Amino acid sequence: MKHDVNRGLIRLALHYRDFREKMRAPLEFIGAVSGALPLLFRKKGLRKKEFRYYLDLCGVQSLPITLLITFLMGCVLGIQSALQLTKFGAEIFTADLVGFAVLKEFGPLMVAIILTGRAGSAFAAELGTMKVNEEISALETMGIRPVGYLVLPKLTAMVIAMPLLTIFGDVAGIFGGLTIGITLMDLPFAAYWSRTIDVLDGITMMLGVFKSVVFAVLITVSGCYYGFRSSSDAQGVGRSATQAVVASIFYVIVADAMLTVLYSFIGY
Amino acid sequence: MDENKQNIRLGIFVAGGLLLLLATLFYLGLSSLFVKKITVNTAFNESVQGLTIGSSVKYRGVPIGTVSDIVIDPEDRIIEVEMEIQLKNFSANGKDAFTGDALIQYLKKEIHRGLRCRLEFSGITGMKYIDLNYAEKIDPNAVVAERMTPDSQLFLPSRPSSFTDLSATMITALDTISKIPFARIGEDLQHSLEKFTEIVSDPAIRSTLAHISETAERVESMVDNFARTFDEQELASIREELTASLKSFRKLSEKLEEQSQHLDVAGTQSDLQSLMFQLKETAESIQTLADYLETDPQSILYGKSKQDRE
Amino acid sequence: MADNENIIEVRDLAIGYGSRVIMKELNFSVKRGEIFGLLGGSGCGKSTLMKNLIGLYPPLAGEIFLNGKSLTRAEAKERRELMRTFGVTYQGGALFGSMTVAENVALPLQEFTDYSKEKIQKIVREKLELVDLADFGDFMPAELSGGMKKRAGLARALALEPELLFFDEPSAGLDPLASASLDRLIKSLRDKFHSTIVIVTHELDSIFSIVDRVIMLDKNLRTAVAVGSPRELRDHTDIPWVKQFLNRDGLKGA
Repeated sequence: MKHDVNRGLIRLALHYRDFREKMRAPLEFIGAVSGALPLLFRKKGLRKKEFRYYLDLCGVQSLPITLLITFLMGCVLGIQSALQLTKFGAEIFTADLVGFAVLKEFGPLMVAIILTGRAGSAFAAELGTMKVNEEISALETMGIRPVGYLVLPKLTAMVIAMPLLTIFGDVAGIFGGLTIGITLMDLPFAAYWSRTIDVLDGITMMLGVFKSVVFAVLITVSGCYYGFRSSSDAQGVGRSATQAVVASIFYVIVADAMLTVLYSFIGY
Repeated sequence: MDENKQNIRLGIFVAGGLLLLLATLFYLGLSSLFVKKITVNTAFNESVQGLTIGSSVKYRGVPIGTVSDIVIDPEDRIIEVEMEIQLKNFSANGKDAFTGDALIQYLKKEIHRGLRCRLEFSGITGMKYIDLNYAEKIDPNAVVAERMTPDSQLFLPSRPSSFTDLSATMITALDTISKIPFARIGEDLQHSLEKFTEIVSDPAIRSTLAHISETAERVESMVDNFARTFDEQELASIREELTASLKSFRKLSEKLEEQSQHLDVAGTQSDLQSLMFQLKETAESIQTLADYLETDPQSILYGKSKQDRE
Repeated sequence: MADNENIIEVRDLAIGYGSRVIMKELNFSVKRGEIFGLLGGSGCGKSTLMKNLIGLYPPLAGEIFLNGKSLTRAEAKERRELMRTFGVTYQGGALFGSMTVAENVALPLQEFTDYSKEKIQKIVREKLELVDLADFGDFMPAELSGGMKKRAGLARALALEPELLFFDEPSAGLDPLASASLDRLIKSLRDKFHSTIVIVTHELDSIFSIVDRVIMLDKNLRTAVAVGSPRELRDHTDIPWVKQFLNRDGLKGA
């Protein structure tokens, strides 16, 4: 009996040590990223060329696909809500449904998913490759902190690009719903438009845009974390990219749920 | 070179996004910050279920503002509602919109004319809005007493919503209906019917009927006599009288017919029917006579026309 | 304190990962101006030892002094400053793929000096000329051959003119000619600039042609078994595998 208890305690202790070891690396990484943030305000802190490159990659180059996907999402939402609302003769409420769904959820979420695919995995693969090529070691032996040096341009670019993309996506999504409203449902353009403007408000939109800032941080940090942890072989790079995508989407959705609950407390 | 191109691209992206943000925010409500409006209070002594902050305020159906606050006065359980009313919808003679003070003065004047707030349903969703409209008759009891409001704010009295009215009426109506003694009415009806049957089957009525049929015969003979006796001048008046009596006869016969249908005493009914038949025949002969006299008045003097005699 | 003659001083060093000890009880020093070789069979831990020496991995025990300053006990910031005093050339060059060769070489200068653009450009040109890549400044690393990448990496390592240079298997993956030219380059660096050079290698040609002293790491004993000039060790050692290792040519011939 006593023996069993002891064994149980030992196992518990081992689990705890395991857990602590597992938590250590991500927390260390998050700490390193946060610690590097003050570099942004130094003269040579942010590498402008890299920053421009990532802003271009994550922002400008992701714009067409974002517009297309959010527009289609708006259409799909429009059709689905129309199918249900027509039963009650409440077609005009499609405007409400599409508007709120896009501003609060689908805008930020679709952009997050697109950028997880485009940027998160790219970050992981890039850093993994750099690790294989000993570029990260080279940075360290130059006395440069790789986390600050490599993550900050990505993080800054993402934090700027994602909210902007979300704004574009929001508008495209609403136009998607509008397209369905005035074509399939024969609602007058003015009615749909004024209904949309009537029910939506700036705060709802800004809260959605803020979500995308949180998502940007999560995607970048997960992508870079798995990149830095990539084992130093070619397969390791692919694995870390996959892990980064899975983890990003998971964290994005968890954060989304938490933010949505939080927003509901303040009445949005 | 390349870097410049990239800068331009990024510039367009960032500036475009920010502009879009500003435009959207402006469209979605920041514009309301620049709209001139006044704050008006009202209070309801009923449930405001379905009314939320942001619900519309309409003046005779025209959206003029929104609900900005809803609070409960715990002392007298009255719901106080604060509304923001935009100035731009009110314009005198197509000129510029009212100023805030002018609108308050205007609304004060309108309160005396019966302007009241009232909760109305907006659509099927159970959401409500506040409608400003004129009460047909100003019932001083229905108006919530003027409440304490900041000096600068106007208090608009309210009146019970139509659904409150409706439900009150319904309750009264149901009350009244439930008081009606349907069972007794049924018994009384049964009773009266029996009495009626008794009366109809009374021999006296039968003799009366016989008299009526006699009278009809007499009338017929009288008409014959008339035809021989009166000259043309008198004919017109006779015809009128005839028509009148014919009308009353018809009425009488119709009434009788009606009544006879309700009677389920077979004998009476057949008697009545034959009487009716006779009356109808009489009436028809009178009609024929009248028509004939109209087309050929001298026949009353010379009998039927020559052609007929030959 | 280490005396001024020794640029690197290693005391009771134990290296490894976590609880796994790869080498222990290492005591040696590298003299200023010499070319020092880290030798041993594959997997014996010579690369790990080098990573400890350049501060990438923390040692399990013991201490490393660079110019008399403890690398092991230094605070993070101090350690980064110490790390800037030497240059490292990695196996594959470790050039940053998103930058041109010239930008790679300019990077440490931009990061750690306040030199003007012109001055940086001038230094970059010098360094590229030194490694015979003067015409390749605008190339991307992906466009270079393996040997050129290594030389470009060397140019970057030289940018801040360190007195100490580390080479991780400089001749790996190179044909004998390229390997020989790189060896000559390394030797000329020592001769011209009096740099101290630490090399991890198994290439016997390199060992005998350029290395002054070597340390032999024994995989089984998990420690250093001999330190000395390669010729001396070959001729006078009584450890059989060291003799064999340094005599592969002779074995082939026999």
